[in-house]
Amino acid sequence: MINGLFIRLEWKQMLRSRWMQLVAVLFVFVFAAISIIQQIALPDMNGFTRQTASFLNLLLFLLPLFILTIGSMGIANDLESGWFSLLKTYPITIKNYILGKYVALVLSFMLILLLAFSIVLGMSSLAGQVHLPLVFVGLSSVTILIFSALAIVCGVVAKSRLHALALSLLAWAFALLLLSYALMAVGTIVAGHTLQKLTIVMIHLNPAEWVRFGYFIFSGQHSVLGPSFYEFTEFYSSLAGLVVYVLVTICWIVLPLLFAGFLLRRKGGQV
Amino acid sequence: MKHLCTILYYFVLLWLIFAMPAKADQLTLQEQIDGTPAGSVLVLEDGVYTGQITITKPITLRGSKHTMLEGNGKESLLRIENVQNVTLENIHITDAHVGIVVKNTSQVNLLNVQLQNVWSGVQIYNSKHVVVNNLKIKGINGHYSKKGNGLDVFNSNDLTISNNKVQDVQDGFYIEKAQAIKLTDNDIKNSRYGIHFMYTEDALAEQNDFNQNVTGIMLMMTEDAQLQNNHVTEQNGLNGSGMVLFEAKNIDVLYNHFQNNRTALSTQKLATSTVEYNTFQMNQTAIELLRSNKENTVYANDFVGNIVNLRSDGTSISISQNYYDDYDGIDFDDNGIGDSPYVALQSFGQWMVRKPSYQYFIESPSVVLLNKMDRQTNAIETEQLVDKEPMMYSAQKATTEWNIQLWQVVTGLTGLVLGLWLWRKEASV
Repeated sequence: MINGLFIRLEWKQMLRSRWMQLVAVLFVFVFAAISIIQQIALPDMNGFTRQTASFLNLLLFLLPLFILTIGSMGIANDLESGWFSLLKTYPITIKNYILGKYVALVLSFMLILLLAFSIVLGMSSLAGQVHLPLVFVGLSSVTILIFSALAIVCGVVAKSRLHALALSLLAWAFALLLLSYALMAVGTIVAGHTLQKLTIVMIHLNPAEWVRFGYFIFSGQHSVLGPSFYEFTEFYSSLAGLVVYVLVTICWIVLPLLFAGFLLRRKGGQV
Repeated sequence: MKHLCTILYYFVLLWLIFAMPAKADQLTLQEQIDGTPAGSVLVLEDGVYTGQITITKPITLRGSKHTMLEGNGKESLLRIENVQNVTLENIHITDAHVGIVVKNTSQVNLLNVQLQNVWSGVQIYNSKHVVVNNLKIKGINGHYSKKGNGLDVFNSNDLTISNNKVQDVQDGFYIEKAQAIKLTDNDIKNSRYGIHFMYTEDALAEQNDFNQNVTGIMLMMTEDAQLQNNHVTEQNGLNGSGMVLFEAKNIDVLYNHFQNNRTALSTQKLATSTVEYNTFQMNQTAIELLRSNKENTVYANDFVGNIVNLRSDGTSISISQNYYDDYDGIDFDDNGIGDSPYVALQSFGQWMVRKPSYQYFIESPSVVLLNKMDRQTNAIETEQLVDKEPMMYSAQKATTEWNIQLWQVVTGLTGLVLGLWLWRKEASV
């Protein structure tokens, strides 16, 4: 009951936040504008095209950035402002606190996603080039679930809001850009089969790549990745692969939350 | 007793009238063919004819609406050998290892023939002046390696192959050592290669439709071929390519439309050839050049919505006056040609050619950013994959169909209103 109230309170605070409202407007505007421009410019096609690639990249660039910054700064603000110390005087456990923050963050971004997709759906149907694959909706939700958990960790680790912002930007840059560049650089000096194995490892260890890989699997576009990844993609296209995908996704959500709880206990002690 | 004899008499009479087959029907199809004078037409009644057939005299074999030749699935069904002036029309062939074998012939016409459940459709050896028109060939189920080709041509010349529909075979048309061959208005899908040229000279492939094959046209060790006005779409399997030109010379690729292929046009060891006036739209890679030479030209093509426009292994080629939708130059003198060159060179494109494992990163966020940086650093490139005269406008006209989907407008609006109402409600004190 306490947890339900806490989630509601957190969600209300998040929706009232000016920053969150600005982020919502920005995300919805950019997402809708780019989607519509792409859809009008190019014919609607099945398969992995520049249109679908830019749609996917838009989600991967913007959603994690906003989730990580807002989520981590929310927690850091609690710790910095003393709100967390105040909460400790209430009968609320650290587990409930983490869960409350997480659920509120997830719900807020789900609402932003609902607004963005609704606008894209309505406008693209008017533009006559309708394409909003369900797999994008599903993977956007997975992105929110995973990166909200990582945002909580960033917030708990940070000492201040500015520190949280820096940490979340670092995490975002690593996930979206730096790990890929590092792997590409390594690829210039190692053999092709080694690069292929390292890439498979990175797909599992990088949440952004995990979501991107999920797009290829669930949209049936695994041949885009080329013959080098044939066996790997065949496995993930099977039922066993689907189970593993779900399990790894759950790990990406649960483990950061557990880690955040552990860190917070070390920082603030049990309530 | 007398009554019994009368009954028996009438019974025998009735049996003779109705049950006993006519004399003509007693003859097998082979016997009917043997009995047909040279130069005349044998019209086959509706019905199913079984057994192997060989035609060695100039006749026309014309089927009716439901004439079917049925084989045992293990042997060639109909053979046309050592003969001139044979026409085969309106026949339906089923369950044969090879449907029709044409060998050492001249002036043979195969018209309106349907072949289904055949390992291979038609095989033509050492023949000339052959017309194959309006064939429908549907192969057997299973992997490509377990199937034959739709139509094979070996050591033949002056062939016209048009208006055929071929699907589910290994290669739609396999052409080896042929000369003066025209392949027009054919429709080939779900096969390994749509058309497979080997050691062929003077070939024309025009207005064909290739869809969902491993490769639309595979052209190897061939000279003097024109591939034009073909519609090449959705060759997007693991190793999918619209066209592969390998070790070929004097090949003209003109006015084709390549859409949604893994690689639209791949050339390897190509010499003195042209790629002109084609449209490359929404392919993963539009043109791949391996061991190319300077005498090849890529001219006046449209590149729209491709992930990688041009990539090469470092070998050079003449590229000019193409339209690229990602060209960001300007045209001060308003002559329709951009004032700065278009550099198609991308580090990532080159890496992908050299190490296929890099393909995983295709159009990933990191590669998109890398390409942007590449565009700045490669601006000084003058040799590799540079179009010094990029066109400002596409030759093709964009068309947009305005087709309002009411249910999506309603769903979108409902979602938007619901979302905003929820936000307002929850954010209120």
